[in-house]
Parts: sequence; structure tokens; C-alpha cells
Amino acid sequence: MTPGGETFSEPLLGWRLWHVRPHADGYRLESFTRHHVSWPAQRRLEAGCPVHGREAPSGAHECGIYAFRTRELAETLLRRYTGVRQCYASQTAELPPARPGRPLALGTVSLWGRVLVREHGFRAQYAYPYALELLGGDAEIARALRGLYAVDVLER
Amino acid sequence: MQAAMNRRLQTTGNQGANGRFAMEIGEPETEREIEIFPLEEPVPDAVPVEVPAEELEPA
Repeated sequence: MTPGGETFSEPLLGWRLWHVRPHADGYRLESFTRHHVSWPAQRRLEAGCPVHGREAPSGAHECGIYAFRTRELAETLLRRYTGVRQCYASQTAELPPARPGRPLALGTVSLWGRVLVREHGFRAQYAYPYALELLGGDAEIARALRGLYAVDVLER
Repeated sequence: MQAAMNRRLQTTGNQGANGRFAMEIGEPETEREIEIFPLEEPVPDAVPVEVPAEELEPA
């Protein structure tokens, strides 16, 4: 336990975006802002860092596995990514469409281990997807993700 | 605050991608550390079985 830190036994649930990209063994989740970080199936993703190694997330760096506190914050990043911005101080309830042929996943993620808590989100040591909504995909991709990661996948 | 963040990224040798995401999740100055030791790691060990729609009970 870290000095002054708090200890919990239940994983946190955060919100994330993922790219859904084809690999040799099928579609996989990839980190949204870190390229070529493929999320493993049936085992946790562990944070790594070229500076701090397995000490990630470090308080003196920006390493770790990222997640938002709320769905709304993840949707904001999605709108920014897809170029659909707020207009006239109103925000559409509908999520913007994914780019053609570039499916995305929006969903919850379990976070545990050492977790750094911020105003709008978290940086965690370990993570695994909890439930996904597939954006811009089809039933076949949803079924593949469901089978690979053994999580609920809703096709939108 | 922005200048402090930029200095932080420069001095830690951080690449851009995580830095952009870091902006989204808030200011690092408010960060606090917790530790989570789940009794069971939340990684599924079995593939869920899909139930054909015709086998579901009507609502």
C-alpha cells in the first residue's frame, strides 16, 4: 500500500473508446490514442512504460491505462475524433457515425491494481473490457468481439 | 496550468498520444492514488454462450 493511499477490493469501472481493427486472428480492440496497442483477450492488459516499466502508472509521468469517469466524457472525445462538434451550445443525443470501414467501440472497462484518480478519469495499472457498444460495425464483428473477449457487445 | 502541463510532458519525454488523452481526463495536479485488489480478477475465463432468439422466453 502506498503511503496515504486508499485500498479497495472492487474494480473501478471507467469509460473508454477503442478502435476495432482486423488482425490475423480476427477483430481486436486497440487503444484509441496509443497506436498498435492491441488489448489481449481472456487476460488483463497491464500498463507498461518505456521510462517506468511495470511501475506504470507513475505519478511523475503520463503513462498508464486511461479511462474516463463518465460515458459523456468518452462521447465528447468520440465527437471530437469524428469531427462532429457541439453547435449553437446544443449537443445532439445521437452518437456520430464511425468513419466508413473504421469501426469503434465505446464501453466500460474494469480498472484495478494501482490507479491514479483525476478530475475526469483514471490511469490504471491493469484493465479489461467490461461491456462494449460497437459503432460502425456489423453483427459479424460484434459476434467476433463477444467470442474473443467474452464480454457483452451491443451493436448500434 | 497549460504551460505547466507542457513542461511536464517535455521533461518526462512523453509522446503526444497519451498527452492528448491526459488533457481529456483532467489536471494531473488533482491526482490521488488508490489501490484495488479485487478478490477475483475481472477477466472472464469462459466464452458466453449465445442463446438463439427462438429459445428465449417471450417478454
